[in-house]
Amino acid sequence: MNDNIKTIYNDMVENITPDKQFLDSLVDVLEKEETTAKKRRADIHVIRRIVSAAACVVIVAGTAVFAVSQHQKSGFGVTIRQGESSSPVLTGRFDEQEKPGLLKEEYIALLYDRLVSDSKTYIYVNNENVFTDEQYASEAEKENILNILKNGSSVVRTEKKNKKYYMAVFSDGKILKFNISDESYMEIPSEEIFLTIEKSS
Amino acid sequence: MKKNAVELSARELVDKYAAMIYRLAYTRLGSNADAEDITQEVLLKYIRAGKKFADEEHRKAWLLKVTSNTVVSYVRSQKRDQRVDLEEIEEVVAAPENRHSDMKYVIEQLPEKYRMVIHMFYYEELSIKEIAQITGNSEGTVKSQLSRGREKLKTILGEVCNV
Repeated sequence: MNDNIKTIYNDMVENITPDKQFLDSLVDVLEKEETTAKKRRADIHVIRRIVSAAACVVIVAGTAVFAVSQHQKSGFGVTIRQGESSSPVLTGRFDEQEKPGLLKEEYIALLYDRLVSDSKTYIYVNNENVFTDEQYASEAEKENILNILKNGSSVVRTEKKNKKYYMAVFSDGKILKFNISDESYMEIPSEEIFLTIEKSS
Repeated sequence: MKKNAVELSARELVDKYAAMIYRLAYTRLGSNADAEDITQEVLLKYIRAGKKFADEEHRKAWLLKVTSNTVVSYVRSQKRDQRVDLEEIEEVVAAPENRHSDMKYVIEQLPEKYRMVIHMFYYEELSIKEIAQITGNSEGTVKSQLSRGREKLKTILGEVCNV
């Protein structure tokens, strides 16, 4: 019986095929994106080399930005300075809104999605809001971040114990800084300056 | 780069995986336009991520996982945005026939939470463990969804095909 159902179901699914015209236009879109992505990756490679070479990288700006609102578009930035040098070696900022006016849950979903799909994201961790090279988050910490984002909900919370600071550097060069307290509460910059997400129990 | 990593051209990528992504998305969403949107989004993500895979099995698993996540995010955003604009209404009126009417009926009758699990198990022939990894659920949850989903599917197919 189950085999019969499987056969019928699979026969039905077999008839679901994307439109040929859509597939042809998709190839064009992907080819264009491939060219852009290759250029972007080459740029990121240069940035990564600079970051890796830095013996002591200090995050100067206190607020990281994952620009979501029009107001933040020109208001925030993260500057990484190398050693004693006063000239910035990397500026990470979301210059353009990726999706304007996102709801909190959509914003959380967007972050989750990016962290899952962008395998080249580097996540740094420290007990203070300063990151040096090779302070990468462990797999367990990454898993916890994803768990908070995946099932968590937005809450209001002022108490912050056992706070750890994180910085995610995405493969397109964008940077997101956030912190996690008690391994359950994630605080990220958003339209409301900070959005606190509670891990679902 | 990983050893023996094989890169696919845009054309190869579309030929090999577009239908797989489209079918999984269609199974959950029941709409050609939505399935096309998801297919494009997933393949763009693949290119932007610049991932290299040692074999097709890993590439396929990654694409299924990203498809599943993209569909879930899409559904979340759709539920919050129930507005339908005039253009969409006209499109529906202009194209009353559905290319996949039987399948559309099955999808509409099958509860949302069972759709992708059933599809991955029957059509993609993935194991419970693999489905659990892709959906981020426990194996127990997948087993129970599969069992209930199969019962529902049996009833629905009975109506459609007199099984």
